[in-house]
Amino acid sequence: MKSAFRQSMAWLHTWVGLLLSWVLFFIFLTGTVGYFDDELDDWMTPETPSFTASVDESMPIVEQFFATKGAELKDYSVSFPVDRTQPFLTISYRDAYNKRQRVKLNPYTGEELTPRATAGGQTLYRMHYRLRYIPTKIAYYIVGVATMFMFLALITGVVIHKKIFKEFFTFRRSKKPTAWLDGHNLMSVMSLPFHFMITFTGFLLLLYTLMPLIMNVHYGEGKEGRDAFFKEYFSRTSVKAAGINEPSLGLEKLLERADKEMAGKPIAWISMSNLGDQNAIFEAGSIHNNLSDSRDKWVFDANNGELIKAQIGHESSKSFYYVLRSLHEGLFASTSLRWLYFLTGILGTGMIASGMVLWTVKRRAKAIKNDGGSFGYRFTEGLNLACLLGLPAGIAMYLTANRVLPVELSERALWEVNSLFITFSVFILVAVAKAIGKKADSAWVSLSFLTGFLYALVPLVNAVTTEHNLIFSLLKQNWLFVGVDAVCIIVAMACFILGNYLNKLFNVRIEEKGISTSADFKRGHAS
Amino acid sequence: MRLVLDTHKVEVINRTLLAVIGGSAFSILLCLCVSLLLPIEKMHAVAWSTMLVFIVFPVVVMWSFNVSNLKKAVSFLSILVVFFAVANWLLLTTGEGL
Amino acid sequence: MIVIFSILIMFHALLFLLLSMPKYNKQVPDFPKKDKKLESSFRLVGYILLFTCIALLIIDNGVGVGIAWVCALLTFLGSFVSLMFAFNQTHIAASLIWLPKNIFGVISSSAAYFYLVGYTLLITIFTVYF
Repeated sequence: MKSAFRQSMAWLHTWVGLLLSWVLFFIFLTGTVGYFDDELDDWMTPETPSFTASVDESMPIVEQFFATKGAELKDYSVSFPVDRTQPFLTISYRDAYNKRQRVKLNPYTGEELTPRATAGGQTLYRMHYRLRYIPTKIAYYIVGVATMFMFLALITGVVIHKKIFKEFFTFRRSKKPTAWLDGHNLMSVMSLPFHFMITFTGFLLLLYTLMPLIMNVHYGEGKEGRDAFFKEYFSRTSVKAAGINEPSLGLEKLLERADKEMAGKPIAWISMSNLGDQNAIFEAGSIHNNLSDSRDKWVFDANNGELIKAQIGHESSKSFYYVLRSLHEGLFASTSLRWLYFLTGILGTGMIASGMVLWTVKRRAKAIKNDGGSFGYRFTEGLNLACLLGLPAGIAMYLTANRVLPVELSERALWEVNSLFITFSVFILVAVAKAIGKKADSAWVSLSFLTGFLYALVPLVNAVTTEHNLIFSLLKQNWLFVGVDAVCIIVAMACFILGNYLNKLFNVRIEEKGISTSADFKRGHAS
Repeated sequence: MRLVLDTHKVEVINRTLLAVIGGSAFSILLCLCVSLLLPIEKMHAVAWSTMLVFIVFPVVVMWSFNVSNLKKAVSFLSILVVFFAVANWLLLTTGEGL
Repeated sequence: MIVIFSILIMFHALLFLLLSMPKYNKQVPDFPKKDKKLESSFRLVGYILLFTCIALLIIDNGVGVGIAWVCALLTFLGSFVSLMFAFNQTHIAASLIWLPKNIFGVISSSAAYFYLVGYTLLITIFTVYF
């Protein structure tokens, strides 16, 4: 009975793992890169420096800005550059025509900053749950289904790994298919808590889109039901202007009050609504330090400075929900923990990648005997290869495009993203064509080298088009640019090592058989 | 690539249908019932039961692929689905604001 | 600072747990085989050290963030230990047992208790002075 259970779970694990592995690989890689979304935003606007300034340091500029604006602004919000999510002093307001305006300022000189239009790290991160080129709602469903498949793959993976604790540290590197299995297991077992967390919390982030039924039963159908629930649950209340004039306390005094209430936490943002009215509201918030403060804000009456509500922490299901959301998004993470999140994400991406490779390696021997294998096998191998190398190559091209596309090009942000997918498509076409033509081996080698080349190109293009090349950045201790260059170089080296290794692996087999032709799938020798 | 519907493939398709359709129906109805019965604030009941769906559903999926007698499994799950559907209808029509 | 310290403690904890399993310690030449007492003492100290560094991280960072650190570090140190063990069993084992072996002359439960006492002393000194 036990072994039948394990067998059925093993079957389920392989299939749920494989069928959506390409989507999951995409989600995982873009999500992992997304942990550095703000850093990549800064990297992709190299001519605009990023600043760090506290509220006190920035206030003169803020006041100067409002003084020059002339007309009394009724609603505005200011974000101060106190952490990685805010590189500039940003002021959002509604202008005389009631249109939303946002201006980015140097917090010390008040000079307006105009960074180049770029998709930035933000777009890469958002693709992680919105995908691209498809309507958002459909993307949410695809991502939701993929997440469910991954959740099932994780659970069944644990169930089938009999001796999961006894074999906790096992990695047999020399025995060929076993080495891949051990590698897949190692990456998966070690990062299991992380992956259960990421997958389940991924569900929670799309919760009411994927599963609106219970909410609709209780709160009413369609959009109204949804709005009613969200208003109550997420406390989205906005107060309308009463139409009665009343002077506000003034920004300086309000900030003092906020400082006192926030007990030493640095003010990260403030917002003012209905300024000059009886119902004027002043809100302030801080940076994220732990798992429960992602929605914390302090709400004051702007006219007498009284604290209306300190919206800190949550109750019951909201506490559970927000703690898990924070774990997924990692917004609270310090730089070192953020790197750990990134590396664990890479491990997870490796887990998915090795699962894909394991599937083909296991079936390789049989496929070779059967004249290259069925069409399904060859197509899958081509697609695996295209995904594993094509998406990373696309990301390298995305970074290069940011440097190469002219600044004046309209829609350059869109074209940066398009270049990622154009590269990806080229890889897919080449890989699948070669795999179906039984030349998958040569595709593996050449595409590995190509990806390595594209990654090596990024620091070079960076050095040519900006003044932030590796040497200068090291000297100026500009760790952002050092970091991106370093990661690109490391990935390039890894691709070259992989290409070399695969080249030797495939060619050795041919020499063993005594036939000297180019790496040909059909003649490869099963290990 | 010839698509031959042998017994194995039919079994797989049947179990998949049981898992997906039966599983969704069962988990949604069970969790709806839970949300109607939980003696806490409505919005929190909705939140907890919606999150519960994502735990119940994988369990049902795993169960559908593991159970040995498929016909028994289908009837068992159908009975449960009907039971919870009726329970929910009763709770909704009679116990407004439970 | 505490992070570096926890990494060291966790590294040793994982090694203790690794070497307490016969499947792995038989691959290390100098290690006494089939010594149940030794294995249980290694396992005990391994778990104690593991919980110590978990406690350290939680106390320093708060529960949620501390647990995030624990999971992240476990992932990496676990992978690191497994990989290194696959490549060279003697060297990685030596990083744990070299010191007690030279002090006591033989690998025994005393190695485990040596580390336990050593780390307790270090932590007490650390907390007193900072």
